Amino acid sequence: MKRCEEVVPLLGPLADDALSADDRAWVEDHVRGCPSCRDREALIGAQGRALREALAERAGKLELDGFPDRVLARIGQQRAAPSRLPVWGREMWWAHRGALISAGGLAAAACMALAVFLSPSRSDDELTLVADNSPQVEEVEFGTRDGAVLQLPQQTTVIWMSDDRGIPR
Amino acid sequence: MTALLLSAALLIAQADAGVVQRRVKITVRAIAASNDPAEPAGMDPKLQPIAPHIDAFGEQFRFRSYRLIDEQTFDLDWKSPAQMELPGSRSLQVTPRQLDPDGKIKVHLELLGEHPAHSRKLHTDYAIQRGGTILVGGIRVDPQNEKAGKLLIAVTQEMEK
Repeated sequence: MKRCEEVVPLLGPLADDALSADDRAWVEDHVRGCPSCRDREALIGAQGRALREALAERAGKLELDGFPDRVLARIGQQRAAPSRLPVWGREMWWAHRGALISAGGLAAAACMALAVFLSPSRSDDELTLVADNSPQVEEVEFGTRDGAVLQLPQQTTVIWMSDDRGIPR
Repeated sequence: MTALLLSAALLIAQADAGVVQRRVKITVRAIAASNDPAEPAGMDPKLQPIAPHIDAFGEQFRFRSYRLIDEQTFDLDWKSPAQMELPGSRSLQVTPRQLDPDGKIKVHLELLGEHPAHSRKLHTDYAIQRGGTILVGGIRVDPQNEKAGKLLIAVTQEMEK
């Protein structure tokens, strides 16, 4: 029988149905006979489902009506913009490229700083995953065990730990 | 006269605030989450006060049954730990640490292992609003018997009356 440390890295791909038939067979065989790996598999499954639900909830709130049209219109606008690289521009570039690069860097930094200050604050919808009234775990120590913290619907926070002493060495 | 009334009102308000902040009520429920076909399926009716949390947990973890093993409510001073014995000679210690300005309560929780060592299996600090519940679990109900299921501990911050 394979050791847990060989199986653990494959539990995620197993949950994603991304293993070859051969690998799947021996990983499933191991999991059937190993309570620790069954725990880990259950936890990975639960994490995956929680993540999928959270993402589906957020995706459901996105405004996608007319999205392809908006993308195509934006592409059209960018294509229609005139080229601004005449001969004079190229000569200026080669003559002053050091200064222009420095100025460009400063301008980019300034734009990024402005973006930070001027970007609109996130809407309530975007914050629902992190700013609800669920219990917030500030610190958790599982000792030698594996564990995870899950934020579930209904303001439910779960701290789940495996019942073994970690992956055998 | 008005000043006297205002002073009295202030004193009452302070005393009231003191009552709210002096003590914290915490309910701990030890639950067996099991896939044993011998157990009745579904949720123990005694878990009704935390049913939404058990339902949300069950959606993800898919245990067949949830049975209340023990329930205790503690009325605690700040920084005074409460200890509850759990199956398999383990125990849980929960300590309300402080009240945050946003009204949340900071709690320290420790899950201690079997006799005689009582080694610490898990410890955590979390912030919770009044009426909130946190679930902690994963160890076996009976360390010797896998079929007994997993121990799920629900720690609820009770609402002040």
